[in-house]
Amino acid sequence: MDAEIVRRWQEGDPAAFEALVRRWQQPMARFLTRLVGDAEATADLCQEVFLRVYLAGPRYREAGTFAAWLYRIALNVARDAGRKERRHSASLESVAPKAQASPADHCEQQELTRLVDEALQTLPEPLREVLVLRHFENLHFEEMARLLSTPASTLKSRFAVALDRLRRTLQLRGWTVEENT
Amino acid sequence: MIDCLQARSHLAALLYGDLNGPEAVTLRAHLESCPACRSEYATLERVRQTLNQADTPPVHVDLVRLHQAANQLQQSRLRRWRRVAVTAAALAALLLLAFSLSLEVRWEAHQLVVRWGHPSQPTPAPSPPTPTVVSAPAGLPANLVDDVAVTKELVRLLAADLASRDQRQQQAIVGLQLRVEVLQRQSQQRWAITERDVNALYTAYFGSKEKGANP
Repeated sequence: MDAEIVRRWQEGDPAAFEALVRRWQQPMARFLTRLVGDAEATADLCQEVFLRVYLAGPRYREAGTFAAWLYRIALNVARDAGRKERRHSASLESVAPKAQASPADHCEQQELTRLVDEALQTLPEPLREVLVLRHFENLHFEEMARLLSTPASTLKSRFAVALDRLRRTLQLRGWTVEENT
Repeated sequence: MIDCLQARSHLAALLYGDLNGPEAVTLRAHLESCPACRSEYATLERVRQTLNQADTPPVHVDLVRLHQAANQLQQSRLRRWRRVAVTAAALAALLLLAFSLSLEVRWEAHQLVVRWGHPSQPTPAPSPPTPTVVSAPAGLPANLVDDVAVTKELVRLLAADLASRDQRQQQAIVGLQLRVEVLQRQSQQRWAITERDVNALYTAYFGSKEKGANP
């Protein structure tokens, strides 16, 4: 289905690009939020992803799938955002703490989301990428291997390590197995 | 049969369906008999459920803003390429102008002379060089002496040829300049005649011509 929409878009149909955006904006939002860990930045990052897609559209050739191409762009946007964030943090004398949920806004769902995002951010980037792509985007390791230019066996090992570390981090931050049952 | 260390390294793969049939069967058999690994597997299942519960803010990409940003980027790239193209064209034009109009290349006194500026006045053609007998340097074999003499003669003839070509080129340039002057004079004469005829027609039709007067 993506191939047909992309073909129409490349032939000059603006509605086709809009259809692609509507179809993929929420998956991209999910992917970027989990990878970058900043829900407030998600909208801007999504905007950046689709801007790059729009500009690179004429050059897109169906060597793989459109989804793989899109994830590659989103991964680069996330990595660029991560680099900017690290440079910004390093240049500040005192790092401002992230805004905490106010008591009025506090709810279990938001707390859980915050816990997951913070735990994900403690993982090194290579582990976090594999975990997010496998769990949230349901990419199989062979597809991931092409996307990340890393052997599938390496990615499988990284995924196991990532899940185990995430479990330990969640437990350290008060998460228990019996919660939310 | 597998041990606990091997089993735990494959729990994530089993949970996400990434193990093939026989491996999955072996691992499940181990889990049935090992409470510790079974507990570990249950914990990973809970982690997976917790990850599923994390929500994502709804996002609507602003297509208007996207198209505006794309337009701005494309225009700035175009401006950059135009600047590069104009600079390159200007450089090329300068080089072409410099090399095609004012460059003078000559062979003079056994060296290549490159000069800028207008070509000098045509000089009288040099007389053809007279062959000279080259005395053999002491100690050289006779056949080599002949070769040296022939080479020197060839170089002299080449220099003379270059000089005469240069003179012909200068004469041709002078000729072209004269031709341009003649054409300019003819053009001015024709224009004067045309202007006179137009004035005459004007006078014949409208009467005497005074400045500012209406016909």
